[in-house]
Amino acid sequence: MNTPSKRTQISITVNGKTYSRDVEARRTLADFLREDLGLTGTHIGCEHGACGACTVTVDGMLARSCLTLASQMDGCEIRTVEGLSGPNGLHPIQAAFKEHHALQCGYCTPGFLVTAAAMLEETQDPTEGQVRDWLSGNICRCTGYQFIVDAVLSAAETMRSETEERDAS
Amino acid sequence: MKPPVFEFAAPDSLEHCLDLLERYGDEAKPIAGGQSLMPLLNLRMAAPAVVIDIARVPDFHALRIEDRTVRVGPMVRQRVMETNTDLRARVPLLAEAVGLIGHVATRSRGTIVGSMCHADPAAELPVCATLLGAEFAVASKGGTRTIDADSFFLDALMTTLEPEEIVTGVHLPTAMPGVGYAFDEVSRRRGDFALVAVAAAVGLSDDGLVTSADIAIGGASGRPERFPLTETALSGRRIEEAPLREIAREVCDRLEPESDLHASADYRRRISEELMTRVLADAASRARKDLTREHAL
Ligand code: FES
Ligand code: FES
Repeated sequence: MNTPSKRTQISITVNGKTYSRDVEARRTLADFLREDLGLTGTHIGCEHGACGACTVTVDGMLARSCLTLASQMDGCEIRTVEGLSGPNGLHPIQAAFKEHHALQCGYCTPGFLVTAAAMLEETQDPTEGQVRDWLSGNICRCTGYQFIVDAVLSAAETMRSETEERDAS
Repeated sequence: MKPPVFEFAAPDSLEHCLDLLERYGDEAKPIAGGQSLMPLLNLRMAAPAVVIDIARVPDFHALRIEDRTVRVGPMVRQRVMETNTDLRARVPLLAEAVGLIGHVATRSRGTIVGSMCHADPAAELPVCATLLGAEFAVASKGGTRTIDADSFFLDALMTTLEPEEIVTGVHLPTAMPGVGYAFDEVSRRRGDFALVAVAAAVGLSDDGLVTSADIAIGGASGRPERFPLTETALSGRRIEEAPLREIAREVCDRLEPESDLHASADYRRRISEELMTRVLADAASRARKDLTREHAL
C-alpha cells in the first residue's frame, strides 16, 4: 500500500473468523465491526477514546476500536465481546457480572468485559487496586463501579480454581 | 463523530514513507498508534488529505537497549515500558511515568515516539525527554539529522520537525550510577493529562552530598521546561538539609502557567512547588539506594 487511496482492501480475523473486505479508508474499526460485520456487541459511546465502551483486543492487546482505523488492521486478529463466551456458555467474567449485578443499562458492559478478560489473562490474582487501575479507562454511568470490581475479583477466583482443578486432574 | 475523508497509505519501507512525505508535505499526517491523531480526526480538529500508516515499516518496530542509550523506534508501544523489565531498569524515569499515561488500552496502541511528536504540553513523555536530554533521529528525502529535546519541542502541539521529515527513533540516555530519578503529577482523574507534571534527576556523591540536580516541568507553559539546579543551594548538601521548598518556590516564580477550565494559574504554580519538592526528595533517596547497592556489590 505505497500509493494513497480512499479505499483499502483488508483481511481481518475477528473471533477466529477471517473476513476480506474493501473499506473506506476512514472507517473506524468500531464501525467496521458494527456496520460491516454486524457485530453490534462492541458499543460506541464517545467516539474519541474517553469512555472505553468500544474496547476490543488487537493481537491480544487491548485497543479502543474508535481510535483505530479498519485500514490499519490488515492481517490482525481481533477479539470482541462476542468472542468471550464459548461452547459451554458464558465466560466466567460474564457469569460473574450477572451474579454480582455488575450491569444496569449495559451500555458500558462490553468494554468492561473485554478489558477484564485481557487483565485476567495477564494477572491471575489481581488486587482490588490493580482491577481498578485496569478498569480506570472504562466509564460506567449506572453502577457506581463497586459491583463491577466485585464481579471481576470473583471471576478471577473462579478462573484460578478452574485452572487448579485442571492442573490437578 | 467520524473522521473526515482522507486517503490512506501504508508504505512498507522508510524509502516509500519519505517519498510520500516529500510529495504531500503538510497535507500528510503519519499515524503510528493513533492515540493522539484519531481523537483529532474524530473531532474534526485535523483534516489531512493523506494519512500515512507507518506500522508496516519493519525497522520502525526496533527497540535497542545499549549500555549508554536506549534507541526507541517510532512504532514501539508505550505498553512495552511497563512489561519489559530490562528497559524499565535502563530508563527508570519513563518506567515510572508510563503508568500515568491514559489507560492500558491506549498505552497498548499509543507509541512512545508518537506521544513525543504530538507534543502536548501536559503529556508525560515530552517532560521525560526534556529532563533526560533525549535526541530525536530524523529523516527526510534530503538526508538525516538529530534534534535534541530542548530544540525539538517548540510550543503546544508544535515541534521543529519539518512536514517532509519523520522521526526514525528517539535516543534516551540510560540511568547513570549514583543518580536517582523521579516523576510525579497532579491530574483531575486517573489517566487524564496532567495539570502539572514534574520530573527530577538528582546525583549524589559517595558520602551522600548532592552533586547534580535537574528538574523538568510540563503543563506550566506551551512546552516542557528544564531547570538545572546544580548551581543552587542544593549543591554539596545532604538532601534533607537542603532548602527544597525555597528552591522550588524560586523556580515557580519563573513559571507563567495559564488559567483554564481545569486549574487556575495560581493553583498550577502551587502544585508545581509541591511536586518539585516531592520529586527532588524522591530522586535523592533513590540515588542513595543506588549507591548503597553498588557498595554492597
Ligand atoms: S467509543 Fe471508543 S472510547 Fe468511547
Ligand atoms: S451499566 Fe449503564 S453505563 Fe454502565
